[in-house]
Amino acid sequence: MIELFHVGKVYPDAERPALVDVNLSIGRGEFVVLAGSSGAGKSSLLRLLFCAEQATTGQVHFSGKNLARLSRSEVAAIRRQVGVVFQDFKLLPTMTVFENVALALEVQGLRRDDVTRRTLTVLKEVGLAHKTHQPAAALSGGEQQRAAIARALVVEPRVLLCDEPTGNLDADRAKEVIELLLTAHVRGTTVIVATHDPALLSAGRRRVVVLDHGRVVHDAPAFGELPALRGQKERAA
Amino acid sequence: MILALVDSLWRYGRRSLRSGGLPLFFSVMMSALGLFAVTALGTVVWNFRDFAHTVSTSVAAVAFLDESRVQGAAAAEEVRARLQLLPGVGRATLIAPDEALARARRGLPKDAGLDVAGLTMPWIVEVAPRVGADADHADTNAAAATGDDARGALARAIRGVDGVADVAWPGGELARIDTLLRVMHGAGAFLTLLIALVVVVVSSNAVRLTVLVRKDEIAIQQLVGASDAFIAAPLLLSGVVQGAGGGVLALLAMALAHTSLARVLGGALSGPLGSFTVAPLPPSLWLLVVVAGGGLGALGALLSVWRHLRGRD
Repeated sequence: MIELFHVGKVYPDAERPALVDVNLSIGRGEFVVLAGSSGAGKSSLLRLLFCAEQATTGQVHFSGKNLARLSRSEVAAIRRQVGVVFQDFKLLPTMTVFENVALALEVQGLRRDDVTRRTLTVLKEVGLAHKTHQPAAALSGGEQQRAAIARALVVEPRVLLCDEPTGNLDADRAKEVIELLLTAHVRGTTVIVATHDPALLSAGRRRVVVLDHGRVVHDAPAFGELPALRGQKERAA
Repeated sequence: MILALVDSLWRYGRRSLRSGGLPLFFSVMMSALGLFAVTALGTVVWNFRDFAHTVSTSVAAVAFLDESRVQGAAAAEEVRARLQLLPGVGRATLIAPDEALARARRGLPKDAGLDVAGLTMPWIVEVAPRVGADADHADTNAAAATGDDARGALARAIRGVDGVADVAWPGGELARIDTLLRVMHGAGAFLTLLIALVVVVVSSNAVRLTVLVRKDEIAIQQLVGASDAFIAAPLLLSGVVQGAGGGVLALLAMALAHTSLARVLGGALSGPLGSFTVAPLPPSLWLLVVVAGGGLGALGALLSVWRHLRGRD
């Protein structure tokens, strides 16, 4: 479903490349955790996948399409199949929770009653049914992240990309968010999460890809804590 | 799906208009001012064209009959009848020498000090062109402008009639009116172009401010897969409202000005050539002002949105 061939990414004025010769193949329904220290290239990789950036070298393919060769309308079409969740939520603070979530459906041109029905359903699933008409700015951090996940899930995406989704949350709120991601995965959505969070790294059956200085240094299914990460944590401690 | 998109357009369009604020208000007012200037000039040109047409169809060529060959009323009437039959002639009126002399005296300034005692005049035929005759040659509406050649041809035809000694026709005056009309058309076109540019720039800047206010919202719309059209449409609507709103205000101001000034101007311009009324622009041109305003507003908005979506802000 997603394939990266010898992908490199160099930002202008950067001291070193963000990604170096990354080769990766992610199949339908996988739960992939991108791990690594800050600056390892996790976010850069995600940005390539939702077409916010283009690879400097190599190719990124989504459902067989080379993302570098897409027109603007094709990029928009790809983004309608991809849900994205950020550490800083990226909600519109003055709009209500309902409006924030419904936005993702409105851009697809769905009928008003369909938008309303699906938005209310997903808000109920993420536990925000009682906050529907509150402005996003009035929510707590955990609630905002759940609203952001609701906006990503409401379109029933084929792929869910999450960049440090628990980075701004305490342990309990992080657990709620992880539960939502696992639920989406169980329903068949391909989930790719960039994180430092040990709870996410040890959550469920997942594939862990470890990046270091832009290179993939580990790529394997994992059920426990990874030796490579344990070493990193020890260094950090 | 179309209904859903129209619904979204309407809701996001209202949001764009609300977030426009003061810049949007000033944009509407500036557009109104510019379009009022165009409308006022259009009204002047429109009426001057009518005025020129009235003048051109009222002024006659004057045929002086040959005194040696045309003696007596019967002979003069015979020449008049021949002139009446010429193509392009609307009316040929015979004027006796006494009447011609009286008119000549009336036309002289009182303090000119000219001695007209003993002066005689020949029989004269005043030849008015047929109304619409110019249409056979060119544009009906631009009678004064295109009538120059037609009148020259008519003057030559009159001169060729047996019994006519000379022909006088106010070709110079008509040519001056023609030139003035052309200058007004040129100036009007230039001013219209200039004001159109101003309206585009003003509405472009107003929409640009709206785009900057809604920058985050647009970024998130792009993130969730909004097409360029989905993002641009409400902003274009905002531009259309600015331009068309300016057009409507300009027309209201023009109607007010017309009500106040038309009678005064009409009285001042009426004279020997007949009564003259200052007519308002026809409704089709009202519609054109509003539509053009909306179009220019949309163009300005499109420029801003295009710049933003291509990351050139």
